Amino acid sequence: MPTLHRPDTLDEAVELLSTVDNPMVYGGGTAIQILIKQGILFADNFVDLAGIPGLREITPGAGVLTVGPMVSVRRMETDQRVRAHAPLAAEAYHQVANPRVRNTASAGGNIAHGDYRLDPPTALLVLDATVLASSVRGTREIPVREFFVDFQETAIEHDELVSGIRIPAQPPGAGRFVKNSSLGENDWPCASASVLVTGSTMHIGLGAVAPTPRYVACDATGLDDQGAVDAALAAIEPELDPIPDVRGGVAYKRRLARATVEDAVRAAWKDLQHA
Amino acid sequence: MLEQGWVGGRRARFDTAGRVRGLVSHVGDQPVGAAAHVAVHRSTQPHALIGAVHTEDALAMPGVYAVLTGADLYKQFGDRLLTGPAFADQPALAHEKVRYVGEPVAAVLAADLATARAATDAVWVDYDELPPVYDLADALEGSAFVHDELKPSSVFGDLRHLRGVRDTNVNYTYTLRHGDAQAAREAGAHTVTGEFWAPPTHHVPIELPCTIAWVDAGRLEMLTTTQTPSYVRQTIADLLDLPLSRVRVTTRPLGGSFGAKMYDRLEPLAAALAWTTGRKVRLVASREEAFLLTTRHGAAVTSSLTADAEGNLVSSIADVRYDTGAYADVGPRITAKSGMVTPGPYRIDTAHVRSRCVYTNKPSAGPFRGFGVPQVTWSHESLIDELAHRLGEDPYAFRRRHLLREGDEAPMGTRMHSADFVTCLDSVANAIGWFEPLERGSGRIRRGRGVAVGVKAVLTPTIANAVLQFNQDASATLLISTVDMGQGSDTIMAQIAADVLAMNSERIHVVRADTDATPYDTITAGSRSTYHTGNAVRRVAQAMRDKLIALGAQHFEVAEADVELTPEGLRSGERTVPVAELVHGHFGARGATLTAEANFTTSWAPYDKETGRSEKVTEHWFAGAIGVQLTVDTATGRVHLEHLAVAGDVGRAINPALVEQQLTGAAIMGIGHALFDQLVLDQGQLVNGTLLDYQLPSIRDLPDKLTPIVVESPHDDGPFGAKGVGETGILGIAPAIANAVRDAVGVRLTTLPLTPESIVTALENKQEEES
Amino acid sequence: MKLASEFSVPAAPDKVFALFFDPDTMRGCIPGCEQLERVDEKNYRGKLVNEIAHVRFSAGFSAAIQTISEDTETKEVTAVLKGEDRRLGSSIKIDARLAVRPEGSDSAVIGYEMDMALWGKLGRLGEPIIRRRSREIELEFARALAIACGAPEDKLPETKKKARPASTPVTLPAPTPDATTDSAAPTSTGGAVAVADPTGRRLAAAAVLTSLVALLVALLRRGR
Ligand SMILES: Cc1cc2nc3c(=O)[nH]c(=O)nc-3n(C[C@H](O)[C@H](O)[C@H](O)COP(=O)(O)OP(=O)(O)OC[C@H]3O[C@@H](n4cnc5c(N)ncnc54)[C@H](O)[C@@H]3O)c2cc1C
Repeated sequence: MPTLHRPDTLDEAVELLSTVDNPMVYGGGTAIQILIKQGILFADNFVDLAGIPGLREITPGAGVLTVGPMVSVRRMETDQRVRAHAPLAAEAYHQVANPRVRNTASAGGNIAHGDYRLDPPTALLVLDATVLASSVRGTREIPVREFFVDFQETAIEHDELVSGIRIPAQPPGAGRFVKNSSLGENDWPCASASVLVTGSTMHIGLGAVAPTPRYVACDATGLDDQGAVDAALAAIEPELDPIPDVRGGVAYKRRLARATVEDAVRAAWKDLQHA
Repeated sequence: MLEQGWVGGRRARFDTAGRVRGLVSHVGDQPVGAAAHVAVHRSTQPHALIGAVHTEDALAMPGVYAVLTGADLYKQFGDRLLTGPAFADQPALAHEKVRYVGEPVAAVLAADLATARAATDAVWVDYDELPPVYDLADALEGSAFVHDELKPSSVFGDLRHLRGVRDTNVNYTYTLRHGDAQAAREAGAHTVTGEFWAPPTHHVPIELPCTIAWVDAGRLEMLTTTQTPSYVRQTIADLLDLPLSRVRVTTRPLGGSFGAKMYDRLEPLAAALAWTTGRKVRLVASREEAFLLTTRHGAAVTSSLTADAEGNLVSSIADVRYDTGAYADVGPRITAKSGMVTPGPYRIDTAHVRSRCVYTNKPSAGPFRGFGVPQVTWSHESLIDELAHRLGEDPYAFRRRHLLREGDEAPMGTRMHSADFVTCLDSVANAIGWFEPLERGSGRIRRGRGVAVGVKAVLTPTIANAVLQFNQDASATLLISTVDMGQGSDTIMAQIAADVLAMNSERIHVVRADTDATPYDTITAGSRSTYHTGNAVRRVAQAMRDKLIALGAQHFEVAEADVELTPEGLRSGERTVPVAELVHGHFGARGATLTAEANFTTSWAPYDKETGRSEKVTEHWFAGAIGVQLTVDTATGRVHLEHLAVAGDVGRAINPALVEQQLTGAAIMGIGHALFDQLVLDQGQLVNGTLLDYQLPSIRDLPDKLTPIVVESPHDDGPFGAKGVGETGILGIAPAIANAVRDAVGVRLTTLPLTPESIVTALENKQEEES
Repeated sequence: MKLASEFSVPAAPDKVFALFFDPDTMRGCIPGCEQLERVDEKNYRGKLVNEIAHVRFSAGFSAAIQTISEDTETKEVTAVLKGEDRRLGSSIKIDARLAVRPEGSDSAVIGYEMDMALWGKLGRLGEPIIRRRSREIELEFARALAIACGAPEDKLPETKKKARPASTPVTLPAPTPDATTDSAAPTSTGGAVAVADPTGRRLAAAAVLTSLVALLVALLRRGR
């Protein structure tokens, strides 16, 4: 039976991570609990962040919002400050799973989970967020674009935890998040995309269509909506590397990725025109 | 307001609030006190001989009481360890060989569930691999055999001739021969053919299966989640070699079942363990284990339908293969009952069906809402739709022209009565606006409409009994063995009795099944309870009414014919006596009870061995129809249901609100089967057997509009003309949706589910062919 | 589940074969392979110990050679590989085929196909992970083999982290995308490893495959 630790401070938490055997950070537990029930999780020590004051805070700063790791996904969706500051992020958080999962899952656990299908990373990628990683060695900043290093692997070291996410203000322009599932409507996404158009650049974050969430940008100077779609599809092409599974084969997932990006780009272009 | 609780009234179920708020307690909620918690070590091989089972490490773990293997149980019970409704083929724990990945091999009894589960990981097994039979093709090729020989059980006498048959994976074949279908097909003008596949699926009831068993004064007692308490009692008595009087099976309200909690699930193992160890044992399946307990049959149908030059249907031919997995369960019955309706509810000159039940190395398949019929409806409703298109006819009108009418003899030889297909079809077509122009769409989103009908026989022959205790205070206690699993049977049984007794249905309590107290009832399944048990309840209420009238006649000193039972009491002319006062007067005591009992049994004519025909294969028919309007996103392949109408002929709705709920619920389940619900197996391994991956319809998959339609064409012998309705709504959902997809984008899909991927692939193939 | 792929190594087939036959080289190339032992002419046993994401694990495996064809230009071996993780209540069986053929003058292509059955608790979770991990292992193996063949280490792509096939001596086409993958019956592409010769050499195949399994096990244990 694994031991559950409930540290009162961040220092205590990172100390535990560096000393106990085979530790695992416990955030909202929505991913962990499932693995425990299925009997395939063998952590010896859980370090639960729930009791540490301050980790549930959303702190506005100069042009950035710092989100504590234990802020729930639901709050990222509903909090007025997040919605005003980075509406695209709020929208991506809004579309995660279902209200029960969103109420329990944490913003830190969500990115630390590192799954290639997660929705919020697509928005964090285009917004160029920064992940704060803390350990006994101190706190370092990891650009989110360097955070997802491989299939279910993040830049977080074993003795580190996500202690915050810094989200820059969404620049003027248009941002859209679109996700598509391939089976039940409420299933995990089979393709998702965040598109952010600022000035002459189109930023695209892709979910579920490669072993990691992917980010690309392309020049959108002088393009009409069809031109933008073509440019976006050309830009994402080298990034598409879907893993075939029960939710679809490679060809279908590529197709769905393109349809998803196209929808997001068109919607963003419409917004720009109406702005 | 009293009438709301009588026949035709829409009173609420008595347990709605309790179920929603968690106040109705289920088997798994019952405290067990000191008990051994059981977890099961499962096979990691699809087909293998069991060498040694190493249990020492598990036994050495603190808190572990015992570890038992199939060999241990076999030593105790011999061949009685093998149980099953059709074939005695399934051991409570694998004995000598394993036949699917996940089969129980050893049971660990421990002080708590976590310890038991942990200890199962310490058990390991030496296997000697056998060639696996992964699918129908492997099985029918016939080089490896899942069972060495067929072992018919004693339940179904008509399987006796199969005893000892060797070297086959086909455990049962049903054949229907009506006229010379092959010749008629060759002579016919238009033939459509298809290779259809409906995958295995799982029931996913919310409540997980749970069984608690213990020995009390030499009797085996059990509290379990089962739809079939009478069957389970018999099975346990046979297994333990006890008289029925020494076995007691009780239930609590089930949290859904759909066929998942029938026949031999956890009960034989629980009984064997309790009996062998003398301990009280508690078994509960985890969600992942529940996926392995039983499934719906995957079925392949190769079929054709032929019309002559005038568009008359002249020939229907089908080869049906049900994949029943490692154990036959009730597969042979499904094979026959569905095989005989494979041509569909149409006037067809000739028919030839071969329907086979096939063993493979997969989790066993058993009963599932629809009992195999949705799989063949998938074939006949796709074929007739395609034939209509081929002939340039309207698919609705073409069906309507050929549908069986009252008194018509179906291809399998039985007449239609109280099966109003035409009204069902008309009403769904009207509901979805079939006769109005359709805005088809021209860009990425295309719109279409489709219809389908379905026919199914009720389980026959069966037996129902009811005992009624009329309490002195003018309330009543009804003893039946029907299990309320959310369908509302307790509510409508009370309505039937209340109607006969002119009383408030809320004053009737229905006792939950307890084989020590409630009388024998074949089964709660196959939509049979309203008709069969409902008839027994009506009879028992009538018997009670007769008793009360006799007492009234004594009281008033008049002839019985001059006494009437009314809501106010017994009346004769101007005089009325409240029932409570009458019964009190009779016994001279408060709280006394009057007792009546009644039986209702149906019979059938077994089908002819050669032709598969019977003049009375069933007591009655279910008739249903589906109409759907949907859109297809041609870029993503996603189907969006705009309106789905589901109609069922229920003879007479005892409670129209509950009938609508059954139609609606069945339709939603069918939507899952049509669009994404399936068990995916890879070389015998279930790869999506968790709720993270297994797909069920959520609120977001529902149609924008869902219209249940109650059709009433009373049955001569039904209670107040009523028949059941639990399965009617699911039969035609998948083909109606596929037919609408065909209408929208011009592709005919024959493999379920209709995933967006399969739709875009078909669209791409079509484009290629066209260019 | 079917997996298949091929990759080139910067050495002539003969040289590659020679290395295949050298257990020491193989032990060094195969991620985590600690033991390789020949039971008899056709059967081998081994053990993989590995650490992934700070979790150590070990898994036993066996390999049984089925057929060998050496006389043609393309040399081929087929084998059945089995591994078991008792703690996870899972077993794996792989029907594998490995072929080595020449490519130009100083290069060989190693191709593999495997039909993998994964039974038990892992089986219901593993597919995307296996597909992904198989590529990773392949990269690591190919890189190590290339170095053993004499390719300069600093010119080779990094295997861990973001390893994307680069235009260095080790070129790794992505596993054949299986356009027709039918979600109901995963049939895709696949791979197996193999080694091409009667004696001690085929172990490589077995070991590569089994290390794949082992990594998978480790990965799941870690709980992702
Ligand atoms: C039914 C269901 C549907 C879902 N659908 C979607 C969906 O549509 N889109 C989507 O994006 N996601 C979806 N999810 C995933 C969901 O977003 C994740 O489960 C959730 O974000 C994980 O957050 P958590 O706080 O519960 O993490 P936990 O379960 O607590 O942890 C997950 C992992 O992250 C680690 N971890 C947690 N917190 C930290 C931290 N602060 N620092 C370092 N490591 C940490 C843990 O050690 C563990 O490895 C779904 C989940 C479920 C159960």
